[in-house]
Amino acid sequence: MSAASPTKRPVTDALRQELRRGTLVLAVLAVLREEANGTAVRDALAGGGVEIEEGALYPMLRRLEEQALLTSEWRMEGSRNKRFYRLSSNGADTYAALLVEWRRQTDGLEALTGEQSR
Amino acid sequence: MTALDRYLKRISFWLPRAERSDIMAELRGVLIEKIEAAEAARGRSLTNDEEQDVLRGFGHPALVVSRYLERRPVISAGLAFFFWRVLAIALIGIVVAQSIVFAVEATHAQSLGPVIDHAVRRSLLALLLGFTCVTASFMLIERRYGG
Repeated sequence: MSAASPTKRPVTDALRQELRRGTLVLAVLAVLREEANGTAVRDALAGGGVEIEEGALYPMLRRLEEQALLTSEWRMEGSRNKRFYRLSSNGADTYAALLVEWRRQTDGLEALTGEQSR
Repeated sequence: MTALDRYLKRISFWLPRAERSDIMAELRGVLIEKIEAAEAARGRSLTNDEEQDVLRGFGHPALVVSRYLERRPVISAGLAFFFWRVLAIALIGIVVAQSIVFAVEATHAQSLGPVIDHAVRRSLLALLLGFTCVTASFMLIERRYGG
């Protein structure tokens, strides 16, 4: 096999990003089964090993709300007014459906690659 | 004006008016929280440069805006190949047709100047119309059948 070309890494990075994008939504929906503000969502994701740039998280939360998967409300916490998000009923249904799909795909990939869940 | 105000102003300028105040209120709160956390970690107020570092960590204003404005493309990647192919065929067709018309007109003209001038104007208009029609058609197809 030939040595890794200089273009190989960007391709791998792009594919990795593509792979992450779908699971990122699932991870955010999972966190927001319980109400949380953006900072708490980021911390929960980081705690689960899911990294997301903060500058990307808030637009994503907004998009999910536009898609009626999340609801939000402004509330005082401490001395500051903060926005709290949680799954809408539509979001809960979507989360359940995505979870089933993700498990099905994971099982399929494990069978294909010969890897087992660790 | 603080570094935070300048940063938020650069973002605010590009946001849609209807969503601007809501997005800005959330971003301001988040960024103040980050700055306060950095101040608590240092045990003092941040210098202007340190505040800018915190803001830089959140992303370049243009990048932050682009993430808020992410929308479905006017013509998706799936249709792009067909769009370019149809556009190329349409534009080549226009050039060929205009060349034939020019050749016919030129053979009957006493002076070539006005004929060339007319042909160039007519061709440019036809190319613009062709581009507009093809693009608009694909935008409609995308809107109607796009995923």
